[in-house]
Amino acid sequence: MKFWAAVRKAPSWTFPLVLAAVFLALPLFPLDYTTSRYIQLSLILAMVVSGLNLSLGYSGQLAIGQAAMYAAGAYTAGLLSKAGYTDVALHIVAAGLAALVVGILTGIPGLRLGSWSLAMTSFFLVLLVPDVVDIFEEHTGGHLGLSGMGRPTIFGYPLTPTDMFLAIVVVAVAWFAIFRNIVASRHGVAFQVLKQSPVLASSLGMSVYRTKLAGYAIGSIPAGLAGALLANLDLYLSPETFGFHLATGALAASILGGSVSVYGALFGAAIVQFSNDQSTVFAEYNLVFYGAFLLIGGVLLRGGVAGLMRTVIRRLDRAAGIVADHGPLESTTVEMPRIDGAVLEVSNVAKAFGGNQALRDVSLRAEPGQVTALIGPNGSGKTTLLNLVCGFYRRDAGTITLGGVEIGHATPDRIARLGVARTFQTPLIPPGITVRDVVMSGRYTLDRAGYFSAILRTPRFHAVRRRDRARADEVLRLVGLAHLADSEASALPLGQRRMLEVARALVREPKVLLLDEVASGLDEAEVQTLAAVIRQIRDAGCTVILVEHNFGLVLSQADRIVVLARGSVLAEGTPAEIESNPQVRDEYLGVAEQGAARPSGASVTVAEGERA
Amino acid sequence: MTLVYAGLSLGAVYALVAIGYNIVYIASHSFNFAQAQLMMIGAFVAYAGFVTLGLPAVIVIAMAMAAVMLLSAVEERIAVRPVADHQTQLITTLGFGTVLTGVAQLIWGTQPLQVPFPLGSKVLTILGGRVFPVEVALVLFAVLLVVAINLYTRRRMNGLAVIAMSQDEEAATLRGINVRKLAFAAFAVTGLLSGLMGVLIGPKTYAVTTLGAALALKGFVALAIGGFGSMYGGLIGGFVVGLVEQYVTRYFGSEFSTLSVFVVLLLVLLIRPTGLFGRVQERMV
Amino acid sequence: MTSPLLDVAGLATGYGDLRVVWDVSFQVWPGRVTALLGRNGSGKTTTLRAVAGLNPLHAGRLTYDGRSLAGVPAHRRVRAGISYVQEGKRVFRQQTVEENLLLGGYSLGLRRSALEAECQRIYDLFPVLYERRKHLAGALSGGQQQMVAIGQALMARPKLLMLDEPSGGLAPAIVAEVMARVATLKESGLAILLVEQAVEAAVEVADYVTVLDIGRVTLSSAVADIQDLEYLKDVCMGRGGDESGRVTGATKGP
Repeated sequence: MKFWAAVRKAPSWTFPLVLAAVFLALPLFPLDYTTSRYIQLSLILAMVVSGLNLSLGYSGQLAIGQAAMYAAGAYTAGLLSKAGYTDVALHIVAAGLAALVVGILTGIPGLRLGSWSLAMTSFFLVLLVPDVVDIFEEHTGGHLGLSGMGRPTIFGYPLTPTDMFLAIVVVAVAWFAIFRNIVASRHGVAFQVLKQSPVLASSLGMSVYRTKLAGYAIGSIPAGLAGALLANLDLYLSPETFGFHLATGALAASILGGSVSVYGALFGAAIVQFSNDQSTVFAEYNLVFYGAFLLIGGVLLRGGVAGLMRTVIRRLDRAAGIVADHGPLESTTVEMPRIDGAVLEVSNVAKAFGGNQALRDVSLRAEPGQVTALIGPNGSGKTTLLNLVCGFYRRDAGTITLGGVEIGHATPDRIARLGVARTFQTPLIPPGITVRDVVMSGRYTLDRAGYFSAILRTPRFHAVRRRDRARADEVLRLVGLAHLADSEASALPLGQRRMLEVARALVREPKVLLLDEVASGLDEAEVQTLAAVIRQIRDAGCTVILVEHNFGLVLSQADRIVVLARGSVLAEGTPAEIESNPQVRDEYLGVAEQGAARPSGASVTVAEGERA
Repeated sequence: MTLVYAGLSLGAVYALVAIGYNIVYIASHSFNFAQAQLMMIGAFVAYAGFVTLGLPAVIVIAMAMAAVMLLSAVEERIAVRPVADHQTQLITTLGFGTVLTGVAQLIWGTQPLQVPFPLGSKVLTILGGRVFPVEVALVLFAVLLVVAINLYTRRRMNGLAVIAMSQDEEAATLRGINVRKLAFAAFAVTGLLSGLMGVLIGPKTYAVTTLGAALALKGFVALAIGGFGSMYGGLIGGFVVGLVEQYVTRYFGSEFSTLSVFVVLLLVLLIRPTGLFGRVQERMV
Repeated sequence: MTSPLLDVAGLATGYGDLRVVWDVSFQVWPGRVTALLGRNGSGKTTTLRAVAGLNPLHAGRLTYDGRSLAGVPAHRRVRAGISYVQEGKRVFRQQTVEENLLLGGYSLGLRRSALEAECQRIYDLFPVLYERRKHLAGALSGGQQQMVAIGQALMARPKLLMLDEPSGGLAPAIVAEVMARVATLKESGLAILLVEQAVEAAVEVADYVTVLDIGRVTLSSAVADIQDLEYLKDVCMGRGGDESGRVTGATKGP
């Protein structure tokens, strides 16, 4: 255990560094032809698979057409070589670009489509490869294959087979370093947030379209690079290489190794390439293996081999006492820094869905440093109003302003960036990341550190990451979750996940905080803790809007209460005023309208309540 | 006219794939990537029955239907039921389909096998166009199947139940409908039908494993054109795809035919994602 | 004293692992109406769903007709005689009124032709449905859809009928009609569990009331024992009621 604890203390880049060193050393050893070819092909396939990991695993997008980008990269390199440009470095750049273009163009339909359409559209690309190759037969050699490539060179210096081996290893190592640096950063978490829920991503200020496109782009580049390497390895290309056999093999490798992982691609590719290379007797079983991997992987192996490794690591961590697994919320008396709340003003807003008038001339004003509670029976329009403020619906009439600025036309991610943060009725917490990561993900759009600074680990990247961590830890201390910062966030019980959502919303330093039924499902103790945190947030100056059913919480915490009923504001005032307002009670209980005689006793008048 | 018949009969094949997708989609909101491969297995069993074993048509048809129904039932249990989310279902059904392809290759090899059509193979001339008997049978079968399915869902209690299930699963459960069992039954019945479809498409497309994926994808285009869940839509969508493919092949060359179908797919998904008759937009993830 | 058809004791339930109901107990007798009252969010619908088998039983006992319901899947509870009319008029909108009613009788296991004869019972109770039997359910008015929903439930020949806010979104005159029907059904010996936010309408037909607040019982009483309706309403809003959940009267059977 002590050994394990010592190992875990090493910085996170030691493992990849060791791995890279091992691979780089490989070409120096005298390996026989079969082994060295196996390693080279595995590395090439691993690159294709890594692209799948990024789109399928991390971003949750069923963009599975990597085989087509692989073909695009390979043929680009092949055609350049035939034309006399044999520089491998040039091939790699050109192939990467070609794959990028194909990836983005075919990803654009996926921006608006659901998963099946995206999957089928991207898989269709694989069908098109032989046809496109045939259309340009004069250049590509059609189904007979592309030959006549020149020997690979680099900056004029011709490459021997050993040099080519080294080149492949270098490119693969470089790519995996880039890939690792992207996903082991705030961007990796951002992709996983998108995967969990595009609504969540928007509410954290992320542009769903841009993130999806980035996923398609980054996922297609390695396939192109791999294609260029393949072309220069064999100096011959056949369109059959890029068919369904490859496509399903790559998918199987991704699932087997673990789609949500970096190194899983290497492992999966090694297995699939191994089964590819067996004698023809076994080769016929390939498809059966691939299919079985996909089946078993999809049903049983949650997370593939990488997932298993993570479980083992977590068990060891727990045994060594490195990570606490669970524990109650700690109470804290941490000082909250001042928050710059803004006035949220909703004026005469109306919204109808088909024939149903959900909101009718609703106005409300929420002030900084106050808790404004929004209550009302089912169908009163609370959720509609909330979604309107967040930008998920467009209002039919009226205005919504934040600090005086009109936000009614803005997209949800823009509204989030303007300072509106919210929690959800069902906590949206991506699996597979720590509590601290979840809170840090709230800051994704607050501080900018682009993909390039993540890849190169620039000082700016480190500075932003330090700030992310520091703020996250502060907020976690505030809500009493600091001792669980390294635990798996989605494994927490409901009350703590609710609190975690509050923390994630808070780290955004929001001007307006919308809490959507945050007390539902919590027991008495948890409600108390929640109430204390809400008080602190309010006292720090934030504008808090509380949508709640829990009357007790509302009466004790709210400064102002707005009662919605059947799409309009029924009453508003202080808790005392609302509590004693007979109309409010009648609305909730569907009682006879005011003015009708109400005899006491068992004989009653028939209810006249008419609800939306 | 020959071209029209060729297009319609090819389109009927795609329509049958789309019908298979639709039944499963309506009953359980899942997408069975292996649908086309199951039909292919039916074609292979038909080959085995007619050519290898020389059995009479009735027996061969029964064999094909039984074999594919069994495979469907197994698929539902191991690839669909245990998987909760639809994305993973795509992967597992793709996996099952791939296993089917692999096993078929092991048994029957990769060369296209000619499947005889029990009602003759002499070319007919109808309205000035040449057409094979199997092609006529395909078109008739597709149309009749759609009509029969629509009748079933209107007249029989279980037919009503499946339509109810697809609108509101919970409400259906509260009316005493065993949703799980019906979803399984729909899968198995689709298998039964797919076996029969295999006997019909085999003579037209040959029994060849590599065609499975192409049928799966083009069948999806038919589905997209017609709209998820619409039987008539799938029929029309299939015919559209078949006709487009044949005309493009005739006038521009076969390299462009798949490309043109792809363009049609993109156009439909971008312009009218719910399809011509679909009411449901495919679930946004 | 006859025994209750449905006996709910110490029920804890919710959605998945989210617990919404912590400790609820009540009974329903044949030929009597038990009303579950309380503001929304108090757990009324969640309780009905647990009895129907849609929500998991986290703790407590559900005894129906002397047998435990634990482990009995929802679709089989229908066959045992439990019919649940959900709130929101959840009929099958893309199918006709007739088809909806036939589906209501699915659990009887009869052929369609036999079920068509059964539908007559419902047409007798709601004549307007006979006139509109070939229309799509989605094209009907709210009140008519509610009739279809109740008709569906009655087709299954239930012994226990659960109604979730049958007055929801309906005009006063229709509400009165629906409640009158409920009274008629009570007389035919059906045990009825009624969930309502409309306190006055519920008290009109109910024999027993149980008030819920945030998943617990705050008041449980025979309607006859309630002197002050205003007090009942206060309790429904979340005020009043003692710790043990009983105010006046005991929950004895008929």
